[in-house]
Amino acid sequence: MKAMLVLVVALAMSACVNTQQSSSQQHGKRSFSVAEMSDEVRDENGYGCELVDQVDLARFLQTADFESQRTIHDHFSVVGCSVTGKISMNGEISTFVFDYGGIMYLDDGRILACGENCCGSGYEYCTWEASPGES
Amino acid sequence: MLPVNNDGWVTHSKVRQEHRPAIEHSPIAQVSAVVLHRTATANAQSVLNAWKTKKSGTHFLIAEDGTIYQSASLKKQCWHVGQLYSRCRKASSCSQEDASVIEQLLHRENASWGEKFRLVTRHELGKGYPERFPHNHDSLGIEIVGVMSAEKKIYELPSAEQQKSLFWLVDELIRSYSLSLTDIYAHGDIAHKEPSEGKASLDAYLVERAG
Repeated sequence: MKAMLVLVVALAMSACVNTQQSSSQQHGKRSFSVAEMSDEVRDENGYGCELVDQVDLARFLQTADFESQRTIHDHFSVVGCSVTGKISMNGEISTFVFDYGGIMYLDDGRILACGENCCGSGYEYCTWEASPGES
Repeated sequence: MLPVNNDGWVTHSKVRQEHRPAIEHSPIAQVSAVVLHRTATANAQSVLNAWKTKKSGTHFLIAEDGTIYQSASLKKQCWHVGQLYSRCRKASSCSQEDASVIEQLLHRENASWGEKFRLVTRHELGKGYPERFPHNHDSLGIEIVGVMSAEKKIYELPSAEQQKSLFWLVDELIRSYSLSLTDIYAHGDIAHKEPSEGKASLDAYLVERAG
């Protein structure tokens, strides 16, 4: 059973260029619409995760950046709790898998992730580490 | 047995030295395990370039053509493991007290998943190996070049050349450090990474050695 969730997040982000990650970030106007999301969490590790709420997902969509597989590999952790759905981004429809580590995999291979601009203030869906260290 | 010089560098002709001091950290006291990784890149050169400045990396890198690079001394720790799973929780074998502590850490309020995982990792590091999974201070890491399928979210299979090099290297490390097959791990099995990371490589190795 699918629950309909409509979230429209129109972003007018500044057009400044981040020279360190220019290849993996989109700047400028972004428009998201999450048209459909599963109402069940896939919980591979038995962590008892609850369904991500609309406010938290909106924050993710507003502040997450596109990242490469390598950046995800190096700087993020996978929780194993995830939801699936369909997203419209700048008019293009994609299916997605959102892992609670703050990683959204789109079916075209792109990955949105909750990094520097998204983490903070106890935001639950953050696993980003700027400098992955000893532990 | 791998020929290794006093500085921890393999001197065998099958291993090419590409020293990356940035990924070397504290001295490693004892090697108890080997962890198999995937690079999430299509070639080795991009990884070797990144390791010129990055602090995380592995001792060995197996390139797309099977070339084995050594980038860190075997006497130094590399930061390659990340946030550990609780081993006893995964095996449903924790004591009641330990299970309670771990669940409290995993369900801490107002904490991000990253913070929870760091707490669990710290808790696990209070245990000895093999009660917990291996970590940076007691394991060597091997990266194998390979990307993840966007559709299936699993890593591609290592090529025949990569497998040949991997099998030889793991055999030599097992002999050199008196390890057993159970001391070889896939990264995705022990830490909060893509679950398939290193699994195909480990499975291929175990099938080869079982045969």
